[in-house]
Amino acid sequence: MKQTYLSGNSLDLQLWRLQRSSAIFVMVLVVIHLILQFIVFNSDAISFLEVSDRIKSGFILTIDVVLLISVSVHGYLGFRSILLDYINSSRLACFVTYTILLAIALTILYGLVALRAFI
Amino acid sequence: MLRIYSAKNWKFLFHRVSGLILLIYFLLHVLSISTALLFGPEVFDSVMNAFKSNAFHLVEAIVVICVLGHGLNGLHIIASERGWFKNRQGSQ
Repeated sequence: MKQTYLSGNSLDLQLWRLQRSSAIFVMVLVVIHLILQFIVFNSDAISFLEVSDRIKSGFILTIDVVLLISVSVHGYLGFRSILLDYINSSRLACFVTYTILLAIALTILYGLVALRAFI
Repeated sequence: MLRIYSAKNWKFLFHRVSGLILLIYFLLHVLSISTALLFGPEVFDSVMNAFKSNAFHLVEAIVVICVLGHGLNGLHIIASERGWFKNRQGSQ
């Protein structure tokens, strides 16, 4: 039988593994992100200078970059899984997969541009 | 692939719905911050001021609930797929 995007080829398996492994990073880093935002830096008036000072420390920047990448990967690949449940065409599934991969790359790029402005 | 829940299971539905809510929030989060920064620090500060409203605090509360629920259910899915609950189920 010809392998398709709906029958579990190697790309499907790799993307599934990527989604699972990124989930671990997301779980740990989101908790750190929430603790930092709501407990450590609990500020009602977030300003550009304040965020810039935090990000320049390096530690926050590293967390933000890894979080941006892992949430983009996990979120979009999860969305792909939902879409594939309702798609019966292998061609459409292929199109969705590459569109999702492009969206991941663009979101990470756009987020990195923002983080660069703080440095 | 490894789907252990049926569509009728409320946990399956919660996982999907909370995942979609979190993806939408994440995209709006990145888009709002990144786009505001393209226009300079003043625009960033005014956007951050707009996020101080009570309505946005409610959105934040919903997001935190979704993060906790989605994360814990995700851990449960991984544990179930790895068979960590097999012995317990067998003894029941």
